[in-house]
Order: sequence, then structure tokens, then C-alpha cells
Amino acid sequence: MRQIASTAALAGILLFAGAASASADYPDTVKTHLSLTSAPECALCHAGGMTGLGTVNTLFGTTARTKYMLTSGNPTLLTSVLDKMKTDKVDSDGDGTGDIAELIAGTDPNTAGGGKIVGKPDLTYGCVATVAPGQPLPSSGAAFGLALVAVIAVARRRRGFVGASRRSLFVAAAAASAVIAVGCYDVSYVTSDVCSSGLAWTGGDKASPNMHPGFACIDCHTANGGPHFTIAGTIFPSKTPDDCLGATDASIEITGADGKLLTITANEAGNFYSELAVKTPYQVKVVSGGKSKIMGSAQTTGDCNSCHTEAGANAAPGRVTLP
Amino acid sequence: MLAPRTTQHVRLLSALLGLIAFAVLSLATSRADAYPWMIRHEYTGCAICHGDPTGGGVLTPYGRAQGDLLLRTRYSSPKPGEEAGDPSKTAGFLWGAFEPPDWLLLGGSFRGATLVTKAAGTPADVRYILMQADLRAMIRPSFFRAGGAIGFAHEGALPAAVTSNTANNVVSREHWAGVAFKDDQFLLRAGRMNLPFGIRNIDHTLWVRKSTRTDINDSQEHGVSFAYNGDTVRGEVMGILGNFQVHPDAYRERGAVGYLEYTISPRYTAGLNGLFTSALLDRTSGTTLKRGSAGIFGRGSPTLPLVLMAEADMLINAPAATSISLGMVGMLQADYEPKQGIHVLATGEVRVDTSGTSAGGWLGAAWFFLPHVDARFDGIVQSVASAGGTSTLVTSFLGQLHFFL
Repeated sequence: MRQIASTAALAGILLFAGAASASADYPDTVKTHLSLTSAPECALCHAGGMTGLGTVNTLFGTTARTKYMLTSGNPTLLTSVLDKMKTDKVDSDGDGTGDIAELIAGTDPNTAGGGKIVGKPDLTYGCVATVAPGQPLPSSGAAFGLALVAVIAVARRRRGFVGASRRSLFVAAAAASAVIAVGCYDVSYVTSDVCSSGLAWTGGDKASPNMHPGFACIDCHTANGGPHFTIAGTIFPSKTPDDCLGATDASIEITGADGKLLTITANEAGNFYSELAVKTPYQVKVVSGGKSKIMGSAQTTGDCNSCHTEAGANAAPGRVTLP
Repeated sequence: MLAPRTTQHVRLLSALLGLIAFAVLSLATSRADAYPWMIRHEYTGCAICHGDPTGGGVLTPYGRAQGDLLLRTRYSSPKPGEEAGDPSKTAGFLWGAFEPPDWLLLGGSFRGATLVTKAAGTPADVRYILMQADLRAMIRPSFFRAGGAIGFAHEGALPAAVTSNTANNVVSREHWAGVAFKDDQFLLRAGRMNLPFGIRNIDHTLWVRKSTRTDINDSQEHGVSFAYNGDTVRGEVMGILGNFQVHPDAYRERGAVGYLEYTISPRYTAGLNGLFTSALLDRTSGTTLKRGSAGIFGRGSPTLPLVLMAEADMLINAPAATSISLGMVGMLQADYEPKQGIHVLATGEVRVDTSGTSAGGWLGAAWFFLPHVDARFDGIVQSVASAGGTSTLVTSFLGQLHFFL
């Protein structure tokens, strides 16, 4: 009886106690409070990006911790500290630009004169990643249902299939379909006659740098509240349908009317994008494998795929392709 | 450019490697599972008790029986009608309330903890953590094998999350399917699996697990693996395709990992392991990731109450072509079981990396005091090196209560 009582007491203390006080949500709190386009990396406060107690040792982190008494697990305090640092114009790296102003500008307040701390793609976890506001969840639930019905129908027609094996197959098929259905796998293999790359985006409207290659990025983001890009599009190896993954190892060079050069590297889906302002009209060059080709006329709109459709619109010659 | 290594680092490295070599060679030292100290009962391999050939997770009927007979404290002599070697009726799934068919293994694990951490110069941090709340299943008709787990994580375990919240996520640490050959000597499978590397124990915050990113909390990866489980040699090699529960793809590590273990005698084993992965972006630092680990591990039980376990791994990080940093991580753990079900654990660990040398000591006790229930308490003192050559003394107390179904 005493054992049972002890067990129950321990269970009560350990299993049903209060919430934790870690700081995993601090990057998102900074992003939201300062209206940043991306959450800052752990390396903003934790030296080398290694988290844990005793690791808040960067200039910015040390200032927040020692001067403003920021502790872990308190997002409300964090927002208050950010406000105070802004008011006090704290400049941890002494480069003349305040820490908060640097964060908003996308530079590192720990490195004098710059060092980009934001701008990398947001790291997200889980199978159901963020969906742009107003968009329906991926329709993979329907695919899951159809797959399951098909597997069961085939299995029911098989004669001599041992009961346990059949039940197991059902369970395995259901589990595999469920994993696919909830969208962990946002890129699928397809035959080369569908996509020359052999890969297609199947993540629906799940927010991802790889999403919907070939679609008019800026138009869609504007309509659905996605990140604001000034220039975005997809580089393909050849004329290719929407959602096929494009070419990698390529980049776009944008030369603004003021002569400033912006180079954007295509990601593994062939997508390229930038949030930086470019003075119009600008010249565009596609670079890959030591070769390059220049777009015939200067441009004023950055939504490349709105004209560079598979067939080409507004006199564009189809896709943005490799030189 | 090699990271600067001080004379002190070299001395510590030498000392630790010597310690490991001693444990492996002179104690004539194996591969591990979630309770690697079961080697004291001459269980050098894992597959006889666990659905996963490399250990951990759902238990086989034999594993449940041995857990009841050898793991927990037994308070009385066999009741009338029971023989000394028979497991009690509560050994089965749900304390014996339900007996699944032979082809189906079911299980679950619930672990709650109180963690008090005090770093020098900061107030104590008290956290109540639901460390694990997982339901597990494995099916194994004929040659087909498939296993998976679904659970809830109140905090952390994000790389295993199925949902996308910052906390309170549904998690799936494992889900895989495969085929077994030759009475389960060989298993070829694909899916999300624990990485076959080092000593697989429940102490997932040990530096040997954290720094090599091979713990069983949330370091699983999707991939394809091939396991061999022979009488004297065991091994598993896995091609890592990335963690598809992490987005975008740039943050997914790809590479290979594996181990090979040899049974020297019924209570001594020794093994080798290796890992290399790369990713466009490291989830932790945000820089390009190219990392590798290679090392040795071993277990030995010189007398029934005592088990010694050791592991040492070299850490190689090469985020850029011109920048290579070397480090190492190691641990030596002693498990002493004075009375069946009661364990006293002493652990020493060391980590040498670009921040400097960190060292830690654990002293703990565990008691498997009821069928399917155990409690564990640990006191941990660590000197944690950080960039700039400073060290922080961190003291922790961890109390855990664990139920399994």
C-alpha cells in the first residue's frame, strides 16, 4: 500500500507538474516582436549556436543577460528587454549601429560592420509545416484515403494470403500512408517524362523554399500573405511543367540601375528569391557552370515566373533556363 | 586549419583514451541497448529482448519475461503453483491485462522528470519535464517487419515532431518497415530509425550522445539500414537520407553511420563505430555542416553486480574546405547492482572541442521497484567550456519516474 501511495505521489509530482521554462521560443519571439522576416539564429545569443545553460556568451546575449537581467523561459521579459535595448540604443559591437536596428536590418549585432544573422530559411519541424494564411491544408488527406482504399481492395482480392500477413500489410500501409498524408515528404520522385529532373514538389501550399517551382511566387505570396520578395523565380534545365524541381548549381545576377550587383543562388528546387530592394530598371544574368546569358531587356518587375511560364507569357520565351 | 590544442587537452585526451583502452582491453570488454548493463546476465546482444536489433523500444515476449525475472526487485518467494524461473502474470503487455498475438508487439513508455539546474552566476532553473509519452508497436508476420512509435512531447524533441508547434507536439521517433532473413539474423529496413552508433542507453544527455547527435530522444534519421545479428558479431550500417520531419531540405543531414561489435566472452564485448554526415545548413549553428565521428566502445561485467561501460569518439567538424576542427568526447560508466533491481550508477565524461575542455560527473541511483515501474535520481556536476576560454560550473539534479506498458 505504501509502495502504491509513493508511486502515485511521485507520479503526481513528476508527470503532472507545471510547464517548462526553456527558451526555445525566443527566436520566434524576437522575430514577431521586431517584425523580422526570419527568426534569428541561436548564435545571436549562444556562442557558436550551441544552446544550453552557460552558453549565452555572445556580446548581444551577454548584454541582455547581465545588463537587462534577461532570464530563460520568459518571452514577456524578452520583449520588454528588446524594447529597453531599442530605447537605450544599445550597441554591443560598438559599430555605431544599435543592436535592435541591426536585427531589423538583418545584420549581426555581435559583429562590427555587419555579418548577416538573419536571412537563412526558417527552420521548421513536423510534418504539417506552416501554411500561408487563408490557404487550405494540403489535400494529401484525400490521397491518403484513396491509397488506403486501394491497398485494402488489392489485399482483399489476394487468395491464400495469411490472415496475420494481411492484417500486418494493412497496418503497414496505413502507417506509411499516414506519414505521407501528413506531408513529411514534400518532394517525390516522378518519371523523367513528367519532370526532367525526376523530382516534383508534392508539398502542396506548405511553406518551404522549395515550394511550387515554376509558379509566380510574388503574385501568390501577395495574395496569400507569404514572405515579401522583391525578386523570385525558378531556373529550369529545359521547358518544364509547374512543380517540377528545377536546376541547381545556378545563380541569378541582378545589376540595379545604381550599378549595385545582387547575386542570388538557386536552391535545390531551382527556386531563387530575395527580399532586398533593387533599383529599377535592372539587368538580369543567369550564370551556371562558367557560362552565362543575359536577359535581352532591362526589367522592372521581379516576379520572373509570371512571364516565364512553361509556354511563355508577355512575349517571354518560356522558362528561365540554364545558359 | 586545425584548431589549436593545448597541452592540457592532449594530456586529457591521452588520459581518457588510456582509460577507454583499459576498459576495452584489460577488462576484456559490447554493443549496447537501452539497458546496456544487462550484459551482467550474459545478454551481449539486443535482438532477443527488443524488436530493434540494435536495442531499445518495444520488447519481445522473451524480453518481457526476462525483464520481470532479472530487472525488477522481487519481494517474495514464488507463490504456490509458480516456479522460481517463471515470470509473474504482470510481466505481459499492460501488466498482463491483454496478450497480443505472436505477430504483434505492443509497448509504451512514460517518463516524467524534475530537473533542477544551477549554473554559476545565474538563478536555479527548475523544470518539470514529460520526457517521454510514447506508444509503440511492431508487426512481424513471416519475414515482414514494421515498427513505429507515436507519442506526445510537452517540450523539445522537435526533430521528431509530426505537428509543427513550438511546444506540445505529437512526435514519432521511429517508423520503419523491412524484411528479415535467416531467423532474424539479417534485417533490411527503411524508415526513421535510431542511429546505430555507440552505447545505446537512456542517458541521452551524455556528451557522447549529444555531441555525436546519436541519442534516442530525437536524433533519429530517415534512411535505409542493414543489420546483422550473429552469435559473436553484431553490426548495423545505415545510409542516412535526412530527417524528413525537419524543413527545409537544406537542414537535413545526409551520410552514413554504423557499428560493429564483437563478443569476446559471454560478459565482455568491444566495438567500433563511425559516422559522417553533411548538410547545407547546420540546425544548430546555421553554417554549412560536414561532421564525422569515429570511436570505440565496450562493456564488461567482471562480477555479477558490477558492469563497466565505456565509449570514446573523435569529433571532426569541417564546415568549410579550409577549416577543420578536431575534438573528442568520452565517458566511463559503472553500474553496481547490490540487490536485484537497485542500481548505483557513477559516470565520468569529458568533451574536448574548440571551446575547450569540459568535464562532468554523474552519481545516480535507479530502482525498479514494481513491475513496469522504476525511479531514478541523478546528481550531475559539469564544468562546461565556452568560447573565449571561460568555463561555467553547472550543477543539476534529475529525478525521474518511468512506467512502461
